[in-house]
Amino acid sequence: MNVLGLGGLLGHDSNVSLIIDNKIIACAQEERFTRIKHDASFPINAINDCLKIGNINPEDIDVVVFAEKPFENYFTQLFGTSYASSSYIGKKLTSKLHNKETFFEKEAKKVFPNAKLKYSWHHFSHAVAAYYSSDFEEAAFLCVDGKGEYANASIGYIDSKKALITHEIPYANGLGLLYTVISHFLGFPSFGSEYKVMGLAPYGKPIYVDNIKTLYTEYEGGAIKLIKNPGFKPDDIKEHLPWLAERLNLPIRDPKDELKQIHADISASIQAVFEEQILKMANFAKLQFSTENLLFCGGCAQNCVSAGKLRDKKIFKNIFNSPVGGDMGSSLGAALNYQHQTGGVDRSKLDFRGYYLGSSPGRLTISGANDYLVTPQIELFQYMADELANGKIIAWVQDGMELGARALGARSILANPLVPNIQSDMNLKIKFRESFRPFAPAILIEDTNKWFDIDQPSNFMQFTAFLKPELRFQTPTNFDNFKENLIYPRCEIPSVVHVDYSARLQTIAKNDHPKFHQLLEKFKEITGIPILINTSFNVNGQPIIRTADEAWDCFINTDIDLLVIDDKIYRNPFDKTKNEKLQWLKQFEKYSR
Amino acid sequence: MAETIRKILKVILTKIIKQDSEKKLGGWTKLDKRNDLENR
Repeated sequence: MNVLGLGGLLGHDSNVSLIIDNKIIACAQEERFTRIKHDASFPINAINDCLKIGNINPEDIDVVVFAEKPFENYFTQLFGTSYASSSYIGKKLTSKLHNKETFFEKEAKKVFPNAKLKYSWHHFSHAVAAYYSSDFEEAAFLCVDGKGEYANASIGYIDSKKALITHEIPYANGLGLLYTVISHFLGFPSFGSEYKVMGLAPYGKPIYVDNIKTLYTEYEGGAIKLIKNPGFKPDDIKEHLPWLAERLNLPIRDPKDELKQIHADISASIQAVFEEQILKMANFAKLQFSTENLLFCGGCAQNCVSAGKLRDKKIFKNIFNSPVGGDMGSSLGAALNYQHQTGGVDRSKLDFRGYYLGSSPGRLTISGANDYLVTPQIELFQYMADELANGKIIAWVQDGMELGARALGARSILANPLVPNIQSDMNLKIKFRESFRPFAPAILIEDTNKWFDIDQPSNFMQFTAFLKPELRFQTPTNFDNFKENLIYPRCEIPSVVHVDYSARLQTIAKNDHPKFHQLLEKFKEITGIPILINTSFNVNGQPIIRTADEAWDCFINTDIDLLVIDDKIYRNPFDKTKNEKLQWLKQFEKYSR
Repeated sequence: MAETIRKILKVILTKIIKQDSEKKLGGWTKLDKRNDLENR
């Protein structure tokens, strides 16, 4: 049985997954091929790539499963309400619309002539993907996002035989939209910029919580409904901002304006509101089911800080935060949901390969690149560890690319966290992004609890944890502004530890990622530190690189010292002028704010 | 003219449909959503 999942009908991040005979073969996002961040076009490139990995033809696909209900989605966009919950009269009046096929459905029929089309509710797609990524036999789930068809949050239960949603919050005007409009208000209008606000939050104090609470009505169980709903279209949100400013009694920040303490404080406030509501929702979910396991999924589950709080509060004994919380991997949930519905999934056959489900980088075909090949006399990981210990920054490209927004060692930039000012240097000279944004530490799993307060793996970088108190330096608490706070050394590895001592960990286990594990072991032998900076291999606004040639292109236009593609090492020619680099960067500008 | 009529009809239709579903609103809505894969 060949099952193809297809996501992206919600207008962003189209993606494809392929399951053959119960085995996950491939999963890919269209943006990695078209190089358009969050690309929502019909994912023909991702389809072709997955079929190539699976070594099958389009005619061989038996079932195509959409990660959303296309008609429900279309109806919601048209009327702002659900067809499923409409009355007999409502359904009668709109019955003709019911046969209207969406573009994705028409294309899918053309590309896969022998396939049956199936449709998964969006929140079920999230929940099922989370379930099969976890070790839970049964669990409650809390799915929170911008919108899935009509709902902005769902609560339900899943085990190997069934999945059901028992509660949902209707309308696309809940917690996800609140976070999005505040992100726009803070001058981060590009799609998916909420994580920047989450990153800015620890620099501030949540002194505007009460102002933010004037924007919505609250109901039982953490449910909220915005008083004024601008929807998710960027232009509509832009028009909404003056109303927001008046209501909040705070100034709008233009993307070009300098970031100030007030912006950090607003960020801290929306993050505090968000966490409070998530905890209330989890409490509400706990009242519905007797299980001790919770799956936290949906786009809002990418807020790993709230996932960390959820874990620490122990409302449920065990929390699993979805590795790909957003819609980048919704197709995987859809395909798995079909398997789940038709006789269940043999979990022993599922091999997520650590979510490295994309294609390999291929060969580097850039002429002249071989002039910069390095041929060390020592073993590769020893060489890389030596260079990292010496302060060199290495881009690492190997094997199948990761699914989702986080680079987990297959398309990563690595650096030594002990190097002074490495955070702002990497942000400004390599990633070309805001200097305040912290990096994630990749840490040997066996050393994790010597460094951080965490009692479970975070192998997909999905949880934050706090640095052990004994490893913290004494720091003043009365900084005049967040930039002073940013540069103050707080511990031995400040580039990967936020100002509140939190860190978004990737724990590296030998079984999950033997090469990364080996590299970290070598680095630890030299430095005594089992930790490396791990950030995605791209610049601000650019999708994570996919091929060897794209890697070279990004490499030579940044200040990365070395590029490692599989077992080949290249040194940076450093022959681009500042102007050439700026010119190159311009293509990503519109996605980077 | 046709466009204006279409817009007016859409507003009326939206009101009828919304009126119906809004009766059920107010935070978490209890339901028993089936994990069906057939309906679009």
